Amino acid sequence: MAREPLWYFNGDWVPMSRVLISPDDRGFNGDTVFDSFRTFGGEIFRLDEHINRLYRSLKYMQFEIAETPERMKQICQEGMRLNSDASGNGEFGFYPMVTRGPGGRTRDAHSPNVIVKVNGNASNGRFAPLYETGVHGVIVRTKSYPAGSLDPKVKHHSRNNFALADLEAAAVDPEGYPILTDYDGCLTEGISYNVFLVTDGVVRTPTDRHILQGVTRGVVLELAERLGIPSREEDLQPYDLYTADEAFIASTSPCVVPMTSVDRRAVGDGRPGPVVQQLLAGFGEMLGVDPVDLARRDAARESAES
Amino acid sequence: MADYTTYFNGEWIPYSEVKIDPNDRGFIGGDVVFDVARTFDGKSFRMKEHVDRLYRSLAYVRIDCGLSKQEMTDISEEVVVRNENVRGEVGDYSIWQFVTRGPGARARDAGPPTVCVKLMPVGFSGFAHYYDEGCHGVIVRTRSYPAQSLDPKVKHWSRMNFALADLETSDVDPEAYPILTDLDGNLTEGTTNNVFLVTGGVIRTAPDNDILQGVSRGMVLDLAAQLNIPLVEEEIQPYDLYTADEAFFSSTGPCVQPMTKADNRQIGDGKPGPISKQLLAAWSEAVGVDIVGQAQRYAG
Repeated sequence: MAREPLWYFNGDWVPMSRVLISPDDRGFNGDTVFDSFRTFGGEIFRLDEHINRLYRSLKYMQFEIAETPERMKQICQEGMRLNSDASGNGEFGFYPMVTRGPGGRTRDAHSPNVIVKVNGNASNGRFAPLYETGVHGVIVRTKSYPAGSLDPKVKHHSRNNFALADLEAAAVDPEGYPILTDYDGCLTEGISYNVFLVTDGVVRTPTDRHILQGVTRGVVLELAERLGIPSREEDLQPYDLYTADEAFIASTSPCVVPMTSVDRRAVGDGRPGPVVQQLLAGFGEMLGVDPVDLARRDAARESAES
Repeated sequence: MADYTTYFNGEWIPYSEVKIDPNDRGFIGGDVVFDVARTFDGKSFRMKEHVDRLYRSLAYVRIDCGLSKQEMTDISEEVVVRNENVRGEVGDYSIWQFVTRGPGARARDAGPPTVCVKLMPVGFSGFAHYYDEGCHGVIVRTRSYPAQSLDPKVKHWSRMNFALADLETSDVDPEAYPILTDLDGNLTEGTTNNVFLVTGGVIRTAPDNDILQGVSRGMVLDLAAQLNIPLVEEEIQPYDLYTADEAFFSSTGPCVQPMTKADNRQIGDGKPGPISKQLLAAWSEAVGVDIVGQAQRYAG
C-alpha cells in the first residue's frame, strides 16, 4: 500500500507504526483476546458471528471495554473507508484485539487496550496453489489446552503451545500444517483452522468440546446441509484421518482447502476430493466471489508486481 | 519509579523507550520466555540458576537468543551496575530477562528474537505485611497446563490461565494468592510462587512434574537440608493443605511468605509458623540481609 494503514487504537485512528504496546501490558503475558475476519467482494463476511464470538471471548475472560458490539461493527466499517486505497485489491482484513492493559496483577488491571488492525490489501494469493496441491497435515504431540486449563473456545493469544506445534510440524514436513489432539487422543484443530474429513460420503468433524467455534466451520456445516451432504460432529481419532476418503481444513481467508496427506500418508488418492470442490462452489455462490478465482487473481497480481 | 536503563536488542536505553511491535509473536502468540532474579543489597542472587533456567526455557521452545549464557549473565549484572545510583530509593531490584520469538506469521519463519533485560523494584510494599500476618491462598478451578500441552517447567508468557486464576481468587478472597491443581487434582503451584506445607514436622512440596522449577524452591530445599528439617517432594491434595500445621509460598521477591489461610480455612493456629521463620532467618544469613527487616523498612 502507498501509505501506512490506519488502525483503531483506544478510540482513535492512528498510523499502524504508532500503535505501540508497553511491555508492561498484561497482553504481553498472553492476556489478550482477538478475532479475525475479512471481506469477499468488498463485503465483510459473517461480521455478526465474528463480533459475537469476540464478545464471548471477552466475557469468558472478564474483560470490560467501552465499545459495544454495535460500535465494534461500525469501527470495522469506518476502518474500511479510512483505509481504502487505489493500490489495494479492494479487499479488507480485520483483526480486533483487546489486551488487559498494564497491572501487577490481573485483578488490578482495568485499562484494556482496544485495537482493530485493518489491512486494506487482504490477499489470498498464498492459497492459490494449495487449492490444487492440497496441504499436508501433521498430527503433533503437543496437545490442545484442556477446557479446564483454558477453554479453546476462547480466541486468545496464550499460544506458546501452537508455536511448539508449528515447529514440530515443520520438523516432519517443512510446509506441514499442524493438527492437535486432546488428552484422549481425539483430533481437535489446527493452529488457525478446523479439520474435516469425509468417510463414505459423510463429512465428519470434531465436536466443539476442545476447539475454537470456527465461523467457517459453521458455514461448512450449513453448506453441507444445503447441498444434501450428510455431516456429523463427533470424536475422531488419527485413524479416521489416515483412512479417510478425503480431508480438508476450514479457515476464514481460504474458506476450505483440501488436505491431501497426513503424517506422510496420502489421504484418499492423494488429490483434492469431490466434496471440497462442491463446498468451494457453494462458498462461491454464497459469497458472490469464487474463492479459488479470488486467490488466483491475488497471486497473479502479486507476481506481476514483484 | 526511576526510568531504569534497560538492555533492549543490543542497546542500552531508558525503559520508557522500550516498545514492542504488536506483530511480535511475543505479543500475538504468547511466544516469549523469561526469568526473574533479584538482588540482595545490590548483589544478584543465584544468577547462574536463573540464567540456566532461562536457557532451558529457550531450548525447549527452540528460540536462539543470539547471546551466550555468559553474555546474558554479564548483561544481567551490568543492568544492576548501570542503575546502582538510584537503587537507594527502592532498596533492591528484580532483574527481568525476556526473549520473544520476534515477528513472523508462523513460528518456523519468525525472527529475529527480541531480547530485553530490565529492572523493576522488588516491590516490598506488596508483601512486607505478610511476614507477620500471613497471606491467604485460594485453590482455583482453572488448572495448570499439563506438560503435554505446554510444560510448566518452561517460564513463558502464555499465561491466560493464570489471569483466570487471579480473577477467580479475588472473587473468593480479594487479596489472596491463587493455587492451581493438575488434571488429577494435585496441587501444582501459584501464579508466581511455589507452595509448601508442613505436616508433623516434615516439609512437603509438589514434585516438579507440573510446576516451574523455582529457584527459591531450590533454596528452600537446600536450607531445609542444612537445618536438618525433613523434606519430601510428593503429590499433595487440597486436603493436605487444609489440614497442614503450617504453609508457605516461596518466590524470588519475598523468598518465603507464610500462608495462614487456604480457601477460608485457617492453617494451623492461623499465625505464621516456626519453620517459615527458621527458613527466613537462615536465608537472611546466607545473603547477609535481614530479609523481613528490609522489606518492612522499605514498605514504610
